[in-house]
Amino acid sequence: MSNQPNHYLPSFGKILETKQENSLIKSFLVSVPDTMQNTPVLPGQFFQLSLLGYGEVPISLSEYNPEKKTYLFCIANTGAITSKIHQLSVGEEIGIRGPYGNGFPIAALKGKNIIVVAGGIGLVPLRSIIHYSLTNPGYFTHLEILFGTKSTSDFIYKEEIKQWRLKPDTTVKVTIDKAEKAWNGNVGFVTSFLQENCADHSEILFSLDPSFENTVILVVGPPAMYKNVFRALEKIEFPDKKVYLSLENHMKCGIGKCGHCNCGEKYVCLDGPIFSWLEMKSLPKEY
Amino acid sequence: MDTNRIYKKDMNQVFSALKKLGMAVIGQGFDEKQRLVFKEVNSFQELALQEITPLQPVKSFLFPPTETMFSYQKTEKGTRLTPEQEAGASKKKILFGLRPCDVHAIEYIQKFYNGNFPDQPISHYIENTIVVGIACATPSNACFCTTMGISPVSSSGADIFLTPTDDFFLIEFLTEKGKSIQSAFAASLKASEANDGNWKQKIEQSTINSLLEKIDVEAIKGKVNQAYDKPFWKKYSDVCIACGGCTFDCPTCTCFDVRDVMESKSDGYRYRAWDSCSFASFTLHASGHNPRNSKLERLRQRIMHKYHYTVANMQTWSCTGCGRCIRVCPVGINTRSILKDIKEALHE
Amino acid sequence: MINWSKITEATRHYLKSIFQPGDVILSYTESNTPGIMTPLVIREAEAIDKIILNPLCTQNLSVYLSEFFQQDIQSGNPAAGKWVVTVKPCDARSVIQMISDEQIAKDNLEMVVFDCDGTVTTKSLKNLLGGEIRSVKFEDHQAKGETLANKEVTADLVGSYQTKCSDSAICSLPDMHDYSFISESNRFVFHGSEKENALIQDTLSREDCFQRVSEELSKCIRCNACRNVCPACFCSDRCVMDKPKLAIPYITKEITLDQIFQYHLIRFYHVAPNCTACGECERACPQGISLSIFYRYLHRLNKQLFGAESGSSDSDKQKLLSYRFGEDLV
Repeated sequence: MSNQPNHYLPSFGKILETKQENSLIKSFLVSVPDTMQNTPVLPGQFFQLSLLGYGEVPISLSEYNPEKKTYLFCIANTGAITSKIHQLSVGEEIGIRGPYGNGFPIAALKGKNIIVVAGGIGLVPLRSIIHYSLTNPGYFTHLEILFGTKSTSDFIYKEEIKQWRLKPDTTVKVTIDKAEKAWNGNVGFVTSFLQENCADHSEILFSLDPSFENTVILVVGPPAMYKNVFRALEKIEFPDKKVYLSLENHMKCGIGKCGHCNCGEKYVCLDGPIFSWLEMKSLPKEY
Repeated sequence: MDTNRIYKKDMNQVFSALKKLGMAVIGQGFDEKQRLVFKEVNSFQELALQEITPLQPVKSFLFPPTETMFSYQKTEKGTRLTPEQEAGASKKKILFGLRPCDVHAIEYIQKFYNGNFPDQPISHYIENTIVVGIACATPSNACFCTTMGISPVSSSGADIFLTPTDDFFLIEFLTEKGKSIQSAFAASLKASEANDGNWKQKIEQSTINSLLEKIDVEAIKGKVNQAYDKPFWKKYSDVCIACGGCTFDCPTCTCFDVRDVMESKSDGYRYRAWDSCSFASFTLHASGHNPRNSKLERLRQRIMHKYHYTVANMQTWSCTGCGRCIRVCPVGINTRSILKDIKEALHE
Repeated sequence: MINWSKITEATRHYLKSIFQPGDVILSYTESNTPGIMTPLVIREAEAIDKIILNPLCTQNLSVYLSEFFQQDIQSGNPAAGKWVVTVKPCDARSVIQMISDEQIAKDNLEMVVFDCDGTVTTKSLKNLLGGEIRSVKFEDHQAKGETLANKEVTADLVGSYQTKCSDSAICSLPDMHDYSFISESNRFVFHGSEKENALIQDTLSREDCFQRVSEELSKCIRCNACRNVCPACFCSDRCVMDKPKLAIPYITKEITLDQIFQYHLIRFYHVAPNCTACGECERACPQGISLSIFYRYLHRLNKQLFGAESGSSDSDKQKLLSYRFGEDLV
């Protein structure tokens, strides 16, 4: 029994590259620690990243490259620990525990029309499933990425988005909340994509599958966005078990022991962070 | 099942033998200020088994209130981690004389910490611990074990079980772990006598008669969450002072906080410490958002977790009716009242 | 000698005469656990008859006032009527102190002080009656209980009251002209013995005293009960010990002796100006730590060094919180 692994001990990866995506978010390309070389990772899972002496934070994985043996973490500067992580430079070590969480339901998404709805920083965890979909040919029937931010200075993954637009059976629509001088694209909340035609005059995905049989929606964004998205989906009676979202929560241990992420019968670190809208409805109102 | 007698006058012999086996014996006794606590004892006389169970929960011997998880040193070659644990983790110990409520609590804690990603540090404590249960003949007026489906003479979960009488104990060695220390008792074991089988039942009946009430909670098992929006919660949250006493003294509360401490630019450690869902900071996000912003929501969360969420996830109440929450509450909140209010709200 | 049934009846009668819809009354009633009283929040006149006053009414109800007042302010929806609180003389001093500290507003408050000749903790009562009880009644100076084994036991309470009950500095009415005092004789009489109990700071050397204090505090599990039950600790959710974001590296949540000392010393100094030595911290402590070792000494120090007596007057600004230019250094 004592030769059980101790799940509280982090392994260490080196920071290989950093990139400032926008004023708040910075990407870190980290080497996969030796002890984790063969660990499978599902899109949508998260890791507990440690900055020893300061603490640990749960960060969704944005991309896993098993050939290059790298993890990509995109971290928002929102608190005491993340602000210190932002100050790390290439060559420094960062503690890694994981992967934890359930990840996106890969089997349920296979062969479907996938609509990815991302609000601002929500694109960070969604990138993992986008990357997975695009690197597994034939995984999806059609992929539509709807991305909305407050303004053009909040954009992230500009290079990647350009690449995504070029992929087969993939469309990308981007919008900003308020009009700006140099912007010719869509203006308005990302929810507007779910209902109306857009500035680039293409029709939304729903026209391809009016019965919603073969369509799945993945949504990640700030709480206010969820409310609007759900309202829009309720109007068109989209089935709640085909909508998946990622729930953010205060976490400490990441392995279902410390109790901090417990909401209702679920632990966000074990049963989530990916929940279906149907499951979300069964959680206590505080969430 | 072999049952023997072991006379109280011979117990000190047993304690010496246990010491020779390298075991520390921990049981309930009085400290220097006449407070009833769980403590390490050297002789049988130091135990006070005839008292009610101490307010302090026994979980502190399996999961200390504070524990260093590891220390770290940042060197040029990289970060070095040294897992650490209290010396007490490796100490072989016997928890001597735990009531069925507390034995069940250990069973629950074991099941909880071993699920999903097993908690290796706590497993280490548990594997070095032998549990000697005792049939409960002296409940407090806060006790409600029978409400939670536990008999005051249940030996389930114990490695060794004692049934107390005036002069002797009846003793049963129930598990491999228990049998592994049988040698310490061997010299003092005497044959049991004809009517010894009746003792347990006698104690059970007497204790059940002493309990103030038994509430039928089977009627609400699986349905407790339906009481989520009922108005009775305010009665309790109005007077609750969120002191955390109920969670810290509860033998089945398992939540903890994890923090880092920087001792120098390159050295430091990570520790964990008991935490409570009653505290406002428990669910406080870095953004300042707090999903459980009011005392009512936190008090309700505690009850929902103990009486519904663990039932859904682990098919067991995570309450053993030991009554400590009732005894410690400085403002007289009674968990049994809450259960009765839930029943009434659900018309059960 | 207090007749508790009469005091209860008189208090109920008075409250019924002043209650207006919209008022909220804070008083006591029996809990579901024999030997433990619980605070009662009353919003309708019919519930006033649930009030029961007896020597087990140990809780200091003033602790709820600052929270309720703060809620009123934060919600922007102030209580429609007054906050009415029934308190013992010792706890009345906490209420007055809160007014002095501007934590509660005198205008929205009605304080009803009921006469009391001593309170007992549940623990003391059980010791007196010889164990666990099924029920208990109070008559004259006696507690009459029924044990779990259905035996009747009677014991005299005199000599088992809380230590503060024999301290005339703590058991004394504050100076507030607008309160009501419920008593058979209509005047306050100190019922305890005048003998002042020696504190360990009097009887032990500095080293021994520190040793004793360390032993007591080593039992602390940082549950925060002492802080939460304390009316003088009104930082509530903003307490410095709870701040995860505040980069105070020397405060951790570890339950080690140095951190325990930190916590208690910080609390000691923070409540120094306004602690009324009500003793709730000691009663609420799940580990049974004799916290009154500190706070009764503090109370005495305040008087000796600054001539200050917390809780005496609602208009006296605390000497510890004020400074006069040119005043002598202590």
